[in-house]
Amino acid sequence: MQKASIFSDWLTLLDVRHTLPYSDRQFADMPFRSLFGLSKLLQSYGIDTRGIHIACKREISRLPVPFLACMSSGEMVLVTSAGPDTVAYLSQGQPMSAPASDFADAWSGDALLAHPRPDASEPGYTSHRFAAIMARLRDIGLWLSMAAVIVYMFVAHGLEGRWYTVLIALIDCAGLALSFMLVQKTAGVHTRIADHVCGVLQQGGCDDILATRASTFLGIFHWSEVGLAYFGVSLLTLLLFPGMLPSLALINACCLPYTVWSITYQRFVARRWCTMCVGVQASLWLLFFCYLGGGCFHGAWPPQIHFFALGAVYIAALLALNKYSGILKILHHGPDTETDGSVPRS
Amino acid sequence: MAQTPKPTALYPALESAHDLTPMQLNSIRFTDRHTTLTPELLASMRSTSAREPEQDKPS
Repeated sequence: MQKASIFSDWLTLLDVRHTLPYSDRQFADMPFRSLFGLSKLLQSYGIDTRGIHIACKREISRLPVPFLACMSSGEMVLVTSAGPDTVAYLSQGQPMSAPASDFADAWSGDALLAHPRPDASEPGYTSHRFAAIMARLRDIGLWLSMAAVIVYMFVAHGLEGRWYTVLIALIDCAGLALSFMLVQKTAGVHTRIADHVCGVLQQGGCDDILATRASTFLGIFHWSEVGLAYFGVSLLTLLLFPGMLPSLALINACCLPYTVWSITYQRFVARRWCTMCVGVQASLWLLFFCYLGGGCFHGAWPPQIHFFALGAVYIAALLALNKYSGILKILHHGPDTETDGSVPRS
Repeated sequence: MAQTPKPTALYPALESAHDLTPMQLNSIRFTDRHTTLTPELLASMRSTSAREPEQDKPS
């Protein structure tokens, strides 16, 4: 689920009726991406605002909570309580608590106060709520249908009786999920789950690695797209053509040198760890051991025509993903998004 | 047209506060950074003021 914006978090704290997709879209589409724009947006929801600057920061405890505090570094947080010793706030949707002195040092003194009127609500809330419920039901139905088809194909081909095919399918699913989150991050789509996974090894490591040139292959393909194509095609091939396990195993073995390069780059060049990238490398090695343990390499060499046909499918999937990856950026940022993901500013 | 008076909840007793003008509000921009300001990060940050000193502001 996409991470809520600071605007949606504020509406939740103010107990103002709203729907996440609409309010986040309104926030993203503000003509003035500033406190001025946000105050106008809040007013459209029936919320009165007041922007102030406080010279004596000890007066923070007198401000009505929740309010938006502007930090000197440029970030903005929602203060939920301010006492003489401790300040509680939301940062990127995460509840935090810090000593009042540290908070005061980092705070610029600028704040936006808000007070909802009795009838404050999202314009068109009822219709938005209905649409959000239908979208949720659609997504649940989609996942249930896909799961049912996968289970059927699994059982129809007798894959559930072999330990290594079960593990291979599970690891393919895990690799697919990690690659999809990496593709989302590359497209500028931030989700709570991805940020939480990214923080396991090193906070912000994924964003740092994805910003380097090493995150692309030949400067055109993102490695995240390569991973998504690999795990997606592998899973589908396993489910539809389990007889091609030897070819799948051989292709997996061909991918292993990439894992060595990736870990070496993160450890010695970038000196930052991308949790999801490391997870993908681990998935590739786990797959290798499953193929090895299941005897899937038997008959894989010399490679037959199936191997090359499968390779062509991988390449086709990668090319299609690369060609249409802009759709993900457009869906998130809107129809005015450039194909490289940048959003034209007025 | 008479404007609806703003609620008193927005006007707590503050001695050192002054209202930001629309221009000043518009100068405080949202960034694309997604840094989570943990208490540890706050402790390491230094207060930097991006705004002009009080005495230089027009009345």
